[in-house]
Amino acid sequence: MSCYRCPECAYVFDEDKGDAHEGYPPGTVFAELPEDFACPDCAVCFKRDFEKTA
Amino acid sequence: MIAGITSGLGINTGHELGHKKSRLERNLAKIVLAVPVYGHFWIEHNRGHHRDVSTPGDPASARMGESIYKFARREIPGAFRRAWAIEKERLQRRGKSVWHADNQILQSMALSVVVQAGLLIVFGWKMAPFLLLHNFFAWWQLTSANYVEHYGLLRHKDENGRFEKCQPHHSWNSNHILSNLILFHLERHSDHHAHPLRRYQSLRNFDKLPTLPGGYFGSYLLAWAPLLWYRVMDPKLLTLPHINGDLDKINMDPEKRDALLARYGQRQAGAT
Repeated sequence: MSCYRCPECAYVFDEDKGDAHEGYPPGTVFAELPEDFACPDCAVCFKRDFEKTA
Repeated sequence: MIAGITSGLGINTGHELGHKKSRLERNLAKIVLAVPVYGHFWIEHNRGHHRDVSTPGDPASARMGESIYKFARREIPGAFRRAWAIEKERLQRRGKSVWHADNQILQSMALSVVVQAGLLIVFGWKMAPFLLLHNFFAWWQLTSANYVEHYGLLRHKDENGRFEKCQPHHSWNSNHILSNLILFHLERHSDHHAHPLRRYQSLRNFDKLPTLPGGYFGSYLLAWAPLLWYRVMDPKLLTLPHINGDLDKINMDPEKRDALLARYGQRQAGAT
């Protein structure tokens, strides 16, 4: 499983953990997030802008 | 009225706090936004306005030729609908109904009801007009700020139908000391949209950004007189370097399009 980081605000989407508040359970694969997924913290960056970190 | 103005400034404080990642600051934001019954703002602004800013569909970005009074009728309901839709989607992913107690808009509204009903119980019905006036003034300040912040500015749409990332020239700025002190540097707005989580002390002002004719409060006064506003702002908008008279690069009120083209189309033809 991998982590993806928002280049603007450093929010990290960790596939292992998901994001419970946003309704993405642990094990959610980043690629399966909706195409219009916007960073939950800053909403400046979208899925396509996220960088894979690990 | 004073309380309403204070609450309007409270929305601004809630705005700053609501952008932060820490739970404490976010919860404080929700409480302060509950006072003027504007609890949906935290979601609407962070998740809606920042995503859609300076695009034709954003209810919180004013269009060229749109008066503040027309804008308010689009902005206030539009902002609420967008916040509700975003929250509904989030709850659906969690397998919950939009009416579930986890709905953050409902939580804030419940707090508003407690505060305002409490005041009505303690002071009786004579309190009602004061509450309405208070809420109105708070909302109107926010509407005024939203109106001046992105008037006419438009993000470019690429061939895939995606809007470019919000650039510094997609916000109007001002750097006057009074607004700076009162509004937590909100009017250094370009930097705020580029880096929404940056704390207000660190927001920077840059040269050559779209600049309002005065401080925020002066600009509000101008906005409340639409004909004066157009006279000052429309030429300013058209002469911005990235627009350079090109009306296609402006977020325009569709109903005013023909009139604006007739009036400024000449300039477009002369632009290089």
